Amino acid sequence: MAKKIVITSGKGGVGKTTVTANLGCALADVGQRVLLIDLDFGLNNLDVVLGLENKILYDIQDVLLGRCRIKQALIQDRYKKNLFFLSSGKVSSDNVINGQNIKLILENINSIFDYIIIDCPAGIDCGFHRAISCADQAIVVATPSFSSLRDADKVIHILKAYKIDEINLIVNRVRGDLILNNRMMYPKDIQELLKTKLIGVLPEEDVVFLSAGEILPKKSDSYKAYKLIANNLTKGSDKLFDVTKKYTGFIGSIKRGLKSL
Amino acid sequence: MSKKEKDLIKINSIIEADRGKALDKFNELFLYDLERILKEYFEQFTSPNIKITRVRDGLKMDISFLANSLKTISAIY
Ligand SMILES: Nc1ncnc2c1ncn2[C@@H]1O[C@H](COP(=O)(O)OP(=O)(O)OP(=O)(O)O)[C@@H](O)[C@H]1O
Ligand SMILES: [Mg+2]
Repeated sequence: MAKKIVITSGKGGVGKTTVTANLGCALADVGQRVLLIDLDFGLNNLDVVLGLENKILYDIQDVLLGRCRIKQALIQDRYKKNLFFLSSGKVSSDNVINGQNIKLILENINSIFDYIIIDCPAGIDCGFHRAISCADQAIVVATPSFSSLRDADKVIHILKAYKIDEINLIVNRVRGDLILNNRMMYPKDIQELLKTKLIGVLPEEDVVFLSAGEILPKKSDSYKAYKLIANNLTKGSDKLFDVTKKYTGFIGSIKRGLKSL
Repeated sequence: MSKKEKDLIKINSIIEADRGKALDKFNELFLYDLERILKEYFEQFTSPNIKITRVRDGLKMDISFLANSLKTISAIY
């Protein structure tokens, strides 16, 4: 039985799609069979972030409308053979595109994956409800900003009302230099504020933006941070990436000084 | 006070205020449901009179009905 995890945030642009793609890669790297689903109908971008936009033949709407079988719509990743992608396709007002029907489709492929990760649209409108109604777990992505945290708190309450049994938190775009200068909230403080278990801390890093459409370089901090999250999910460990490490010590304080220029 | 500490205080108060509003909404629904359930239950007695009001530290519930003898229950939850 695959674990179905929705990646959500309330606020737009905080990194849901990026987290979906990179967490999918990290889970595949530790041997899990992973399916990534884009449920951001109309504003779909997961295909581009994965670099699979030219490989899409059928999408989830084709499956729902009976134009193809689900397995025909699954696209294998270019680099990882146990990572698959299902596209949402163009926006449609067709009422077969609902959470209940998507859930039924997922039941058919439940046994061939360990993780099904759902990229949720921003906001708390019908697209959001459709996405969360397909999941049994959620990861809320937030950045250390007022608007993101406020939206995250609301989303967490809605998820609880949906009886999502496991809700975890990832804090994205964290700056170690600002934390050490006491100018950014600590991820642990955010965990306390939102009363939700923190399973990942992701650094703000240019490489994330630059490597969209490609896989993260193994030496990057982000790659290491995603690996820790994959281990936390699969092995039940409790390790978070230390964003402050590279800014401590003599060299670190120079780096920190340069950053603040 | 550092920026981090100021930020935490500010976001805390924003979130607390939001949660407070959500709780009010919940209370309204709760009151409505409770009144409906009690009314259904006391229908079996003659002339049930149920009044639930919100008071400072909870809910005040006045229920009076005519059964074998007249009884009045008043409780604060
Ligand atoms: N840790 C990070 N460091 C640097 N850039 C990042 C990081 N996380 C995300 N980004 C960048 O932020 C931008 C928005 O990310 P993304 O599209 O994943 O957000 P989203 O939450 O899916 O947005 P939407 O709500 O529109 O779907 C992208 O350009 C992405 O590369
Ligand atoms: Mg997105």
